[in-house]
Amino acid sequence: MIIIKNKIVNIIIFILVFLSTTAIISGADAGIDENTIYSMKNLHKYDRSIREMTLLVSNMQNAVDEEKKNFDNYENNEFLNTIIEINSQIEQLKFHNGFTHVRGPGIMLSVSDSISEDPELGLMERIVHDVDIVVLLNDLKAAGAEAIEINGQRIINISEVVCAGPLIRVNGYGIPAPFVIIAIGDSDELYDAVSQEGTYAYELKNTYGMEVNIRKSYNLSIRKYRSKYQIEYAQTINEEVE
Amino acid sequence: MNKMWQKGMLFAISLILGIILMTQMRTANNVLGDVNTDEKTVQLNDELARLTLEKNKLRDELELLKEENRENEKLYKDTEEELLSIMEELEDQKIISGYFDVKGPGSIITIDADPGSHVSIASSHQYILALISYLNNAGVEAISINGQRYTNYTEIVPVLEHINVNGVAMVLPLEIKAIGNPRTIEASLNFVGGIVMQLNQIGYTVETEESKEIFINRYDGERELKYAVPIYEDIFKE
Repeated sequence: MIIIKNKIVNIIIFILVFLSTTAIISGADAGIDENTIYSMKNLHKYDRSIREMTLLVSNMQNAVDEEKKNFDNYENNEFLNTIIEINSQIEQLKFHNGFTHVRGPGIMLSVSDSISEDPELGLMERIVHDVDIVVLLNDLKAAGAEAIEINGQRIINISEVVCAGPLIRVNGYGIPAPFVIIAIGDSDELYDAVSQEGTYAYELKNTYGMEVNIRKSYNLSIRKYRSKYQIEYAQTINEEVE
Repeated sequence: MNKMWQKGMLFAISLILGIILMTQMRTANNVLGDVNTDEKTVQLNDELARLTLEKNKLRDELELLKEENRENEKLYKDTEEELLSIMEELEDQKIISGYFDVKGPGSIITIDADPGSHVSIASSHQYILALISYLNNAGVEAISINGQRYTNYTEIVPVLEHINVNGVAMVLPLEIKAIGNPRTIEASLNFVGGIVMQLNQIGYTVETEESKEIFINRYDGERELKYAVPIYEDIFKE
């Protein structure tokens, strides 16, 4: 009995040792052989490549999205509407300021140096001076003139009318007599402002003997202000419009 | 003793058998190759190929978008420049119009009656007009007379003993503000036979004061044009 029992124990020990040996060797041997190492290295490489590629793709996707957003920004920009709006404001102001050709009813007035033979008139009194023109223009404005030009030069609020020897300088150009003034507005009122007794034009004609001719017209055209101007000192304080 | 030796032998034999068997299995396995590793490799290879394809597609798309955006940017820049230039024009026209408050360097000219003289500003209004004309000759950009902005439609009308500017009555002293180059203003007004001398001769005192910053009010009224209509085609062949 004991012997049999002993043999069984022997066999069990044999099996145990055999199993543990195979297990130990199998475990110790795992991944050591050449092929496995190669395969695993390969797999690792692939893995890394894939990870890099995934990162690259996602970065690129971000870049594409960014560009698409930029594209939309350009597409949706309001520049065009702003430009249209500003241009319309400019046009309105230009019309108002005398930077646009205009037409309408009014009068045409020509003034030239005296041809009077009255010996009491001095030489200087026979000549049309810059101040004479300035006053005539002011009288026309007071009579509601909406646009005025003299010898083709539009008179606006920044126009100078000053003496320049034998000429008068207007908007930087020397203009000679006879001075032809065109004014657009109510032609009757304008006519009265330079023809009625007591007006400056009346005095020029009747006291100083200057040649003053006035003609009403239903359709006169006046040029826009065409000289160069430069705004370098003034700036608007309030940016709001109205 | 015999039994111990037997057990030792058995142990050694089973150890050797185990090693031999395992080595055998391994070798067989190596010769056949690892099916799992290959499958995995194929799979990864496919994945990589797919990603590469995707990357190429994205690169093309990016190139196209970049090209389009380059064009857009150019257009944008041109438009921006256009906008800046018309903003400048708008500012200039606003200043000239007189409908906006403005500031800048310039001169303040004060005209008063000489204490010993009896002058009427109403009968000397043409001197004020001439003074403004000479200020314009000096290139000033904005003028006001006692707070009334000199606009394109401003008239100076003598009424009784005073003058009306923009329909507002005013008496001496007159304070005329002008924005522009103070040196040029001075030179344009103060020369022999100039407007200041003329005013002095008929009994006025004129004082000019330079200032680094002058504020000029806007014109408060409105002016609707009833008779003049704009012509946009160039009928005056220059």
